[in-house]
Amino acid sequence: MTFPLTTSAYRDLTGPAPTTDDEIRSAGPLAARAVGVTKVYGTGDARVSALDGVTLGIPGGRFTAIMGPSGSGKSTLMHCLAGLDSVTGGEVFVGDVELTRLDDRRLTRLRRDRIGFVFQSFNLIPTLTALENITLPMDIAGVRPDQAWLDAVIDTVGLRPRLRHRPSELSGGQQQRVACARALASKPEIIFADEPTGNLDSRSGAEVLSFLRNSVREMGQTVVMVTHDPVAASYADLVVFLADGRIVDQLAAPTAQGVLERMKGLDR
Amino acid sequence: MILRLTLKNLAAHKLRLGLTALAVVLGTAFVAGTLIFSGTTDKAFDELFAEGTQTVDVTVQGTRAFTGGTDDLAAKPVPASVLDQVRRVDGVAEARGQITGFAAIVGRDGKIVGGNGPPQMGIGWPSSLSDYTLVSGRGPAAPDEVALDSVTAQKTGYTTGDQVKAVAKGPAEPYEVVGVFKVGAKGQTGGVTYAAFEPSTAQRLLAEPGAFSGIVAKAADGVSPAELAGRVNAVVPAGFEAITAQQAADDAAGDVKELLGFLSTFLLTFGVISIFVGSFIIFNTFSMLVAQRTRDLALLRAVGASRRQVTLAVMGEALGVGLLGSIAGLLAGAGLAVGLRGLFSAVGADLPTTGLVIAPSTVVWTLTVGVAVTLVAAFFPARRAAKTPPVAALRDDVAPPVRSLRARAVAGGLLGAAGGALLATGLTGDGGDPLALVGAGALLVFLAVAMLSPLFARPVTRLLGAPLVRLFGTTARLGSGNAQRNPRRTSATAAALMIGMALIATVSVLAASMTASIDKSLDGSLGADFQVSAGGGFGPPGSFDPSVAADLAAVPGVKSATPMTYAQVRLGDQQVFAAVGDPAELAGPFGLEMESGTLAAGADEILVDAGTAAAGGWTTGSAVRAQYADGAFATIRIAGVYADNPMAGPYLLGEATHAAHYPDSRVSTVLVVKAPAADAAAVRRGLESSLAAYPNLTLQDRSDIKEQARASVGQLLTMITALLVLSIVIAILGIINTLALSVIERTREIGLLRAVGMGRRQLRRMIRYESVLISVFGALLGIAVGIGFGWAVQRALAGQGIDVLAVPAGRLGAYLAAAALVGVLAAVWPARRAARMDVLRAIATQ
Repeated sequence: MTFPLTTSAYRDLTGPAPTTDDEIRSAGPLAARAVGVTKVYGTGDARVSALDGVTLGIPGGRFTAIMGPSGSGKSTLMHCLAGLDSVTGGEVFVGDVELTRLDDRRLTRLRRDRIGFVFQSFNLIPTLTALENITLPMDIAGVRPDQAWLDAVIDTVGLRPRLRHRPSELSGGQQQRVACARALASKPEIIFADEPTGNLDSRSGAEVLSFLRNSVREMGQTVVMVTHDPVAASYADLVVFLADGRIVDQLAAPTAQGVLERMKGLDR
Repeated sequence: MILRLTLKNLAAHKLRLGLTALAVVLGTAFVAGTLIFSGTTDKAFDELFAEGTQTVDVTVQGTRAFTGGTDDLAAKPVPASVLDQVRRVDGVAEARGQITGFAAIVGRDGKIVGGNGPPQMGIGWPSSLSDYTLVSGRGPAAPDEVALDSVTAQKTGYTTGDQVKAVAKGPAEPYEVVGVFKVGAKGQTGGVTYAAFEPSTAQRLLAEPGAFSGIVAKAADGVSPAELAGRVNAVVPAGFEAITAQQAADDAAGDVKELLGFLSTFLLTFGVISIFVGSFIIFNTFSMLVAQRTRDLALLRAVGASRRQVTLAVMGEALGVGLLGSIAGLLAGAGLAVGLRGLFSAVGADLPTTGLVIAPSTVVWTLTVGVAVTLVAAFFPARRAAKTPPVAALRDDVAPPVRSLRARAVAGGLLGAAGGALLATGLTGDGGDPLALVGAGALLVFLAVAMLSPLFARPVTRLLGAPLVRLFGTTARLGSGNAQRNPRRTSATAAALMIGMALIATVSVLAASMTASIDKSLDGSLGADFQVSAGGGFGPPGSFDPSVAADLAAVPGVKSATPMTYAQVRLGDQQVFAAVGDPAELAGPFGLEMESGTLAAGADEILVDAGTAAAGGWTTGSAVRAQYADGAFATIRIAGVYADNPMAGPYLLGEATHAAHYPDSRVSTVLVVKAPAADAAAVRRGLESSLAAYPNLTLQDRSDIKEQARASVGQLLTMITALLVLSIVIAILGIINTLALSVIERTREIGLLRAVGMGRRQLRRMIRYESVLISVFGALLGIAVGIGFGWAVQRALAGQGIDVLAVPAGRLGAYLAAAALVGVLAAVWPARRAARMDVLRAIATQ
């Protein structure tokens, strides 16, 4: 399954970000969206607003990067989109399911069946082999993995000789590739990656990012990545910039240089 | 500085250390409870017996060759002539004969009252010099009158004017209750029941007509008790002695205290086991805390703390935990002591009461033991903490280096060998104190197994986990993986359970072997069809008039009814109980098989069983130095050796010797053999009607006898197992602690599992599997060690009648299942904590 989209096809997305639900929904098929999401920590004087009315659509079958300086709320936004954190106000949809109304059990199931995760570090269960880690979400769900798909994923990340190894026997890059394979293996509707290259050297990082990009281009996967690294962001189809809990800008078909310049603009 | 750090750490890890402290509390509470209980009971008995010394100064009684046992009831009667001699002694203000012996009241339910340890006393109603005070009615003055103590009256509901039955040497007879009296100032009897008769009736019922059990005398003004005892001693004939009332009270209290002393030692043993088990938990907790704080400790080292300071900081925490735990244990012990007293009165053995005695030594012991054990257990983790290299603070990978297990294997092997050697020495009795040797040996073996078990913790838990993984899939795989992950931790946690399980398994194997051995020998040897004996729990065996045997022999269908009893005799330097009777007549009912010698044991002759003969190096014809109850020494001859026999026991003394040296002619058992053609049920009915007048006697047939033998083994098994459950409870705390700490340690992993879709229930299940695997691993180790111990002890006791090894597979299997349940229980709280963890915070944890 290949999407006929090329980078140039959404060059027109660059520019002021859409601000209303209608606007984002008109942009095309969405894998997830946030509508007027606010997130407030603490009360009174200690009150901190992490998200301040974020409205955002995650286009399906594309690689979206969320960027912003520290404290911009980018991780919080991702956690809210992924059903890991609750919102103070607004609505979050994955597909057409509204997350804020789900209880813990349904949220857990949603994460298990429809979402894939790649974290910055500590992505794998140390007692399981690489293969067991890859099939973990499906094993938890009690469903059989699609063997052909699984083989394809394993070959794409190039881990076949390492499947019986435990995480402690793998390099950091290999561990992140196992995490990517896990995220992909259950064919989730959307993969969330939280600084997936944050702990890797540049070569391993490039491998992981290429893999994520290829999964979008070749397998039609939807990927959302939070990062503060302009080079990592340049692998995405679309970069959304966040500052002070608000979406301030977006950039399609980014280059590292282009992202860096936008970031400089934000870092006042 | 280090102190402040210690205090802060204690505060920061309240919960984790709290569970550890609880392990200390349970162990020390048991020790403190036992010490407080025995201190209190000793004092209460002192007070009880001292009450007698306020009314009399000197007591005259038959010389006692042996202390303890049944001598009180079997003391040589004092002839009336001695009373006259005593009365004539200068300085005696007043003297009277005292009559005591077995007499029991028949309750409204037709059963005799009391008999669960403390004696059932019949007394002659004293005219003076007594500490009995009537609370209602009057003293008995006619042969058919009786007075009861206030406690018995209250328990039975009998009051003045009621018709009651009482049984002494002979059959039960009717009496009218004419009075109720109070014993001592407080009316406490310590569980003894009193029935007072008119003096000459008492002589007939309890002793011999015209004779007394003893004489009590009051000194004239100005004569000290010791002085008076000296003067009286000068006039009483040989075989009698005068002692001060204080001495008599001390002797009496001493007997009781000796009995209670056994009990205290017995209970203390279990306290010590609990503390030992607790030490594993302390060790494990501190190991885990130190491992989790590697970074902090390394940082301390990096900023300049010395190794000594790091060790001190950790030891300081241990001191805090030990001290708090021991103090709480001391308080809990006081509660436990009160509970023990309640337990005693629940089984019918009321103990005299007094205020709780918390002796300074009790406080010192409890605190010292609690603190010392905590410090010793925490020392190794503390030393490891001090070895943390400062660079660990900078490394991301904080996993402590995995040390080689080889050194551990060698040390564990050596320790195990040493323990085995000590055990063997103790069990074969080749020198030293066998109990201490066996105890120390078992301790070393436990330590060795605990040290060696990490070597096979991984394969065994994997093997145990395999069926779980097959059945329950990923959650089980994760649980099993967690159990295999840190073999040292799994082993130390399992070791705590292993100890309790091993001891329970040992006792089970021994009990099964004893029962099997008894069954085997009774099946082969028991010739008697029925046995009649006086009831009574663990107290002195009751005894009755031998004429009962003649009555039973007259029952139609009875071929023979042979009386027998038990008596103490000193052989060499050992004081032993011997069966007494006519060996020739007893051979049939006992099923005696002679290996050598003769059944005709004459004066100063004794028969012994083969095991005893072998142990003593005796054969038929050997001569042994002996002493009888009247104090007479003799050279006793081994007249014959019989095959080990559970009914006869190790020694069988002929009637002739008994009659010459033992004042009491009563018997404790009659063995009945029916005529081969007679109908057993009909004979039983005949025997029962013949015994109707003896509510204190029980009739048992063969299956009853076997059942009783089994039941007494079973009771002991139940009691010891119940006491060992305490150590299991402590082990459960240890599992909870380990799991809780592991959950904290694996916070991020749990967060990840939750993020990728593991439900709370699945998470709880995962932790439960880990817990069950650890528990079952510990139980398996314990049962294996227990079977080994049981086998060793059975081998050692093979010569003393336990010649069959029986491994109760069903029972041990049930224990294994119980261990799995323990695992489920232990997981409840840590699993709930894990499930409640906030996913996001768990992932974000550094």
